[in-house]
Amino acid sequence: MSHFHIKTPFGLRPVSEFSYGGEVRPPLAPDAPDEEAIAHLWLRANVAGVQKERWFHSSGTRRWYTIVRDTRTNLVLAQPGEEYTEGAA
Amino acid sequence: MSIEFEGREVAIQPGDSLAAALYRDGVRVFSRSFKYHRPRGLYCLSGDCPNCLVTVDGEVNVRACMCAAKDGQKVSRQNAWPSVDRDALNVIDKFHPLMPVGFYYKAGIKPKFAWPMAEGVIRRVAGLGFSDKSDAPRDIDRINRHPDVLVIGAGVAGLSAALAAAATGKRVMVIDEGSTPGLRVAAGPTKDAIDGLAAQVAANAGIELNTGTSAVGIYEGPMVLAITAEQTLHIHPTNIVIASGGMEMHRIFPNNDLPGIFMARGAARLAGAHGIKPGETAVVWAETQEAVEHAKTLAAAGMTIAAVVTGPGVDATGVGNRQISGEIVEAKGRKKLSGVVVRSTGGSTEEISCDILACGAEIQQNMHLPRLAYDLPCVLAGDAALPGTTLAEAEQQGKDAGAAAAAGLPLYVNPPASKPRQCGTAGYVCLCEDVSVKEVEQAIDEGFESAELLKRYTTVTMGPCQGRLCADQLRAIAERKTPSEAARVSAPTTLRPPVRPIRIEQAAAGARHHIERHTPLHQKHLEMGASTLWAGPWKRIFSYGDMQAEYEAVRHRVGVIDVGTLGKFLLAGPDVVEFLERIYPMRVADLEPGKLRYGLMLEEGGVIIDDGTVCALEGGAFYCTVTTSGAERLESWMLDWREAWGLDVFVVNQTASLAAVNVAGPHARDLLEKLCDDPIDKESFPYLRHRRITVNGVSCLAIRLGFVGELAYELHFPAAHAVEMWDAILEAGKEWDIKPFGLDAQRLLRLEKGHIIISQDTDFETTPWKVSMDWAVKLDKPDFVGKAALVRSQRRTPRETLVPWQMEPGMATPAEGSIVTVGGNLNGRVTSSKMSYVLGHPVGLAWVTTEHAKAGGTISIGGAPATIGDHAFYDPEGVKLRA
Repeated sequence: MSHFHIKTPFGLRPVSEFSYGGEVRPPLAPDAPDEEAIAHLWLRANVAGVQKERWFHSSGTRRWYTIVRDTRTNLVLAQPGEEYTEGAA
Repeated sequence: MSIEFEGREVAIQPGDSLAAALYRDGVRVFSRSFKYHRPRGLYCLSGDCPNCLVTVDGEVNVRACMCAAKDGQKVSRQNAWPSVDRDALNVIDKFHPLMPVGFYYKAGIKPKFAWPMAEGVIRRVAGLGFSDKSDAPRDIDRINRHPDVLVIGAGVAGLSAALAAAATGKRVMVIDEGSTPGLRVAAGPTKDAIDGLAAQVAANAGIELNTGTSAVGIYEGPMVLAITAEQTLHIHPTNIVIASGGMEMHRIFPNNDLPGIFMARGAARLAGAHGIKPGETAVVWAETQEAVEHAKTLAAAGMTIAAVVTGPGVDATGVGNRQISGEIVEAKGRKKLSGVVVRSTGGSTEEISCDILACGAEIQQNMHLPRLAYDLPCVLAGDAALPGTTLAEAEQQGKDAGAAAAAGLPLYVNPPASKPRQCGTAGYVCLCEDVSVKEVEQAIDEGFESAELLKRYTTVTMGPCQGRLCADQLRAIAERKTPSEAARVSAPTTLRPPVRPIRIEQAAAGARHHIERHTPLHQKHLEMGASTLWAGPWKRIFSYGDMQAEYEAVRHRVGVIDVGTLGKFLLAGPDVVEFLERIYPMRVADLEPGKLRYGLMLEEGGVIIDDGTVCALEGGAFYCTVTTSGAERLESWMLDWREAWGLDVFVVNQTASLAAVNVAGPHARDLLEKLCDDPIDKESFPYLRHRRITVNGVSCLAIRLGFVGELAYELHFPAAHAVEMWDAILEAGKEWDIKPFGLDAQRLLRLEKGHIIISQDTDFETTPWKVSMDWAVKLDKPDFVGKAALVRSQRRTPRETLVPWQMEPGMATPAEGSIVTVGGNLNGRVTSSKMSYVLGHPVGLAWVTTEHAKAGGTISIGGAPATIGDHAFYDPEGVKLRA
């Protein structure tokens, strides 16, 4: 059971109120070669470390939030709107 | 007051735990050990050892020492045959050599056929209680709590911490395993201190004390998982104070598991807190000064203290008949303790008769919770539990911790791993899993040399005590065998929650907290005898009892269905057209107000994820519907894309605020004309148009669609009017014998038209090409979600295609999911299949390989021939729905 909190306009809310939206990735260019398109569709970095990711507050504000989280410790290194600077946390 | 213990009555007194009540009654053997069925008695009396696990009111593995005795409880011991007192299975104890450590792994190899039989026997003989499988699992509530500061442990330090934190204005929650703070502490200054602090806490409105609540895990967040008998708590504090105290270490020597051997605190608890004289003659092994106090408590209860065996630096002057500086090296006795062998510091040994041995070994801090809290905002309430700490010091440490937690200062210190000062060469390391020193050493000889490997191979530390008694001893043995490799072989093993055994129901608490959504008409449907089924979070209506009658009403007269579960979205804003052009694969920009279009929704891979309609409203806004189960997901999906594209568009979810009903059948117009004065004739309100009309006095968005293949009006209106609208429609429809219809009828009605249902007929790789919906995709648009993938997939002929099929009249309707064969070879599968009443034969949809997906071709479904069609079987020209 992993647990952490995400900052919303209504304060820090437990992650159980959110649904995961995946890692933030650059958009796919319409003319991208096949290999790139396939990788975009089917492959994820799945990092053991710092990751920028999206969460949808499905049981709450019904908005998307982007956070930076360390997937090894579940520590949120940058809440929505905050800048993440490497090594800061 | 009394409990029923294995068929007889046992009196209980106020404040009794089950363990205390049974012990007072003369019960000495509380359990039989896991493997060898050795008799085991009370040992720790603090919930830390596995010895007193009993079955209470059908619930297995309850710690008798932690369970408050209640009038009428039914209690029995477990894991023995015929009884715990005379356990025939104890014969296993004679065959230790035949059941070496790792027995399962070794014996499980050959002969193969024998293993399942052996396993059955082992499962019956080994283990703890048997749970009652006939009992339906209870739903345990999951409660979220949000205090500022959480204090774990209501001892001197914990209560002091709570008071200090509350003094700063913080909301404080205190949890403790016991039923009352200090209940299990023998009378004396510690008890007085706790009572005094508890009274202050009770009087403080800023502190909530939760007794009978065990913290079983600490997670990131921080989030503390705690359990009570009735609830699972998810506590989300800003800061945590852990003041969970300490316990005496488990001592290892031959026969160290005999009934009559106690931890000194446990024996003192019986004597001091419960007023029970544990036995006649005691030997107290006092390795701490605290244990000397326990010896006094036992003496005060009327016991003869034959000797106090003191460790280094302990002064027992005047306590007990004799004081010997030395250690206990062996316990004597067969079914219970009869004496101990003491080796004095000088080296001489002697045997002393006694029926109670109180082992006051060195105190180890309870590090289970602190070790889980690594890296989290958590304050450890010092070493309040360690020997030599005075009450005043403990109180001060608590105050400091409480103040630090309130200020949000993490004072977390990576806890040191403790090691036992002494670890014997024979006896039981692990009481839970019945593992002796000899067996651990044998495992080391076999190559499992480090604590982590030994843990997995011998299962030491993996029993109910979760390593409280044995983890450090295991490490000491590993180090003793390979001293040169100490750093590697005796590193502390990984600790994982739960740190107390919890029931599966407690772990699963909240898992069955389903969101069950109802339309405003739900109660109406139930009153009409409707049966329901799940559709996403919704309970939808399957049928009102006679599916064929419902179907016939729609095909020949008129019917009405509640479609309020559809996802309903209002979209507006400067970029709304651009947004919809990118969301949908069909064209939206040219849609004039008053018109509507069917739209697929695709994910980036070009796979169909949903379908619905888009209505262009006056003033540039759009009203979009999506499927029942897709509404939640698609809202977040649309919002995600909105942000990705940076478009200025509002997405308003009206799913719950609007009700919707679909009036369908040849008389649908006749019916609505009775309730509506607006023109709804064929010319002023044709097929695939929408209008705002007033029905029964309520302004509705009316949409002409043809999912069921008849003249139909779908009415969307404020949910508050749902019941009156429903009643008015049913009343107005009486002259045509109107019937409300459910999903079962709707599924047949649409199947006769060859309409697909997303996710019933499609799967995770269904592109529009595969379901012949090329018409719903405009590849000449600049871009839309899934376009690139569709362009790519267009280069290849799809491997399989969804086709409508029909069978000859009189043939049995195949089951959905039946396999399709062509020429005897597996070819595809049936996704939808029903008996068509109007056509008189089975119809359906199936996946077949594209080469065989030719209209007029023959496939075989479950051995019966079926013909592939190329259009709707019912009203192929769509005359009826355009009526």
